[in-house]
Amino acid sequence: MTSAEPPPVERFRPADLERDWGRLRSTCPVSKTTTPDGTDVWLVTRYHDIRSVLGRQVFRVTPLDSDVSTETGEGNESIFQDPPEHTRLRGLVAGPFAVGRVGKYRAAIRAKADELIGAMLSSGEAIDIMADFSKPLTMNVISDVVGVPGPDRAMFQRLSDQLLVPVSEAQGVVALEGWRQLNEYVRSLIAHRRRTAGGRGGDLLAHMIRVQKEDASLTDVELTTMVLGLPVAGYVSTANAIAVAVRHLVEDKWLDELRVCPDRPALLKSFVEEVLRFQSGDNGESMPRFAAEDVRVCDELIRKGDMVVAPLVAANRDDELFDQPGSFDPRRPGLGRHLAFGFGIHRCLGANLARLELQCAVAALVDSGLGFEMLESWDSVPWEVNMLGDRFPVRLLVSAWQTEYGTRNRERTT
Amino acid sequence: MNAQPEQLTKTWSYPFARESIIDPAPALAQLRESAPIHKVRLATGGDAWLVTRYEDVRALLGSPAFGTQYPGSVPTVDAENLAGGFMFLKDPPEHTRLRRSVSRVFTVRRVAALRERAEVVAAGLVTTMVEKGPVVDVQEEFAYPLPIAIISELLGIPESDRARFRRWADIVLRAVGGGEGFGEAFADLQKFVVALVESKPDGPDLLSELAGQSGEPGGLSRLEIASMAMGLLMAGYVTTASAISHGLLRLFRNPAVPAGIRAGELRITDVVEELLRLQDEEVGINRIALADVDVCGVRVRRGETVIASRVGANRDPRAFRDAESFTVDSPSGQHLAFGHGIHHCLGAALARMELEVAFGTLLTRIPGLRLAVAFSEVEWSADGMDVNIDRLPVAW
Repeated sequence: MTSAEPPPVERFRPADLERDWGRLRSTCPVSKTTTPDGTDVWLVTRYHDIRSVLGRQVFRVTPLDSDVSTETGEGNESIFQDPPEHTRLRGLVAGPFAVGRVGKYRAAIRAKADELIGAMLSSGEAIDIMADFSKPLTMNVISDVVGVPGPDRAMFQRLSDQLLVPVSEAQGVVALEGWRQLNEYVRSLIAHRRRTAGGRGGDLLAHMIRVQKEDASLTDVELTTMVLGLPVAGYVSTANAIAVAVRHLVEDKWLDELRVCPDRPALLKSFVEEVLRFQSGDNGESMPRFAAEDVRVCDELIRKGDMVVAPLVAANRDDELFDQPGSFDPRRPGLGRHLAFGFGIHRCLGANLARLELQCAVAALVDSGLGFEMLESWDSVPWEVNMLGDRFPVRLLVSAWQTEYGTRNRERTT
Repeated sequence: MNAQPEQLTKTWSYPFARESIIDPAPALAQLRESAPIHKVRLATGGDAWLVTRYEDVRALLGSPAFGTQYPGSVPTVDAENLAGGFMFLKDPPEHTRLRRSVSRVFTVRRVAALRERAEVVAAGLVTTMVEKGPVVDVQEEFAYPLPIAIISELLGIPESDRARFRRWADIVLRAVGGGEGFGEAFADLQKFVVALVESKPDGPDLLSELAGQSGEPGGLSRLEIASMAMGLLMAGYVTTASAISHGLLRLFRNPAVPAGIRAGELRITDVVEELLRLQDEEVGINRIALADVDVCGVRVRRGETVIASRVGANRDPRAFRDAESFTVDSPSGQHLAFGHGIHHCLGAALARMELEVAFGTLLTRIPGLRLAVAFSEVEWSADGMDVNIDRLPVAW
């Protein structure tokens, strides 16, 4: 038995992401709707209700009628399960992603970002932020974190990229094949590491191998799936968020604002948080939940087994918490309350890492002294959906040049 | 006999071929590093010497051994040739007399009064621009109209004559209309300026003040005043407009600078000085040796031309730290954008004021001001000494 199939990808996507959350919130905060495939679903649109749905144990991530049984080894080995399985798996893997633990990657992330930026001027041609910056950067971080050896990295990225191809029929086959090969590679890598290094090393593979030695309950399939979950969860979403950040840096001139701001570190942090708040819905949306019993949300009775969707995009655009939520403003008060990483026990495991990557990427761009120009407006950037259900911008074309704004000016304001 | 160093035997073509509107040709920095003086072959024919280092440029511009005319030749002014009286083409003692007279009336107070006027004009131009949007040519709508309005004000041109004054100036100085009607416009412009001076004094303007002193000791003749008026137009119109549009382009290329101005982190006066130091829309100032003289270890013969590269001087790492960078703590005013010595630009304070008002008004009244096309799409042309932005489309 292998985990040769992709993890469950059934995601509720509002057919229209630009739906009027404000009107729904004020007239019908918990409304009935249907998913694109016709399933009945509750749609929750207020920040506090969304947080409540995501945070309460009564809302499960697996449908009640599903016959998942880990004992028979069938179904879902990923971390996206309900307690007690989720608690066990998350506990095993969470350590390396704790806020205090990811900091060790900061220097490497920054060095990679500087290297990629340094190469931007050499081509003399249009730069695709996705292909030339955000994807190689996040892939490099993932390779560092997982422990992918240098010579394998190009292949690792190629296989991961196959997961990102748009989900047309022909490319779906490519993606599925990519998934199988990626799975195969990770399994062989684990076996190799077990043989050669045992549990030695500071990367995720070493950690998981050590964990498995101490906790026999962790199966090989689970180990493989969790290691694989990282490129799946952390690659596109973080790369997307970096692209969104670049959009606001360039199109809204925050790059220049950051360069002249007397309190740059603070503004940079809130800029990243605002990017996270703002990009919700563009990518990294929450999975649907299922009521384990009859439960009320905002006076609406939700029956046992009903599907509930609590979109992060709606929470992050709730004007009760965020004034003028549709505008991008890193100086807005209360920014820390955004739910870009979700909430509750399934809150994004890689949140600290993703945040660090964004901060390093933005800081590297600010310090580079490069000027950027969008070669096409953000509105005309094409987005695709990959087979994992993630939306991603196909490209983000910019031109870059070395500005004359002197390093001494920059030091002056740092 | 010693072998001649390469920079003296090899002749470079000048001006250098350009690759960019706002950055000097790379050859300039190479020459400046290789030797202090080089021989150049001018595009207009003839040879000259070129100095590119700050101290040498400054010394040349300040040297009494050099003049603006071939030794012994003195251009004369008449009503058909006002250019013969241009102060910037005169040498002492003639120059000294002209400069003294006009300096007396070209006062700080006058520039301060013109600033108020410039602010009103600039605000009005911006209002019109915004109405015409979403995309306008900021050069046509702002960069040219502002300085011509200020010159009209300075010269005391009646409102009813300003449109035709500008039309003539555009044909003569900007070749608007492709050179068509140049001779006629030039003659009309001269006649107009002569008649204008005849009508003075009639107000608080500069020409009126000069005309009021016309009969007094040290005063200028009517013809000299007319020539002065024409010279101010020649020296102050396209140069200032060009500094505005090239400066804007440089600001667009260095967006942290406008951001710094808006955030109150950068002072507009500092920004203007840095834009002036880095500007590169004009090539050097020519000087002619009045006698055999040694320059940078080379014997320059009487009558030979030496070109002082202001751009070379203003980016000389010997004079400025981070010389190629936009750096607001450069020693203010030490750049040579306005020249040096007795011909140091008479209108420097006026130009600085206009640039401060221009950038200040544009950046604060239109916070989202940006280039409406990609930088590489901006149309420009280099013709001999002039580098001209053809159109500068902006949006907001």
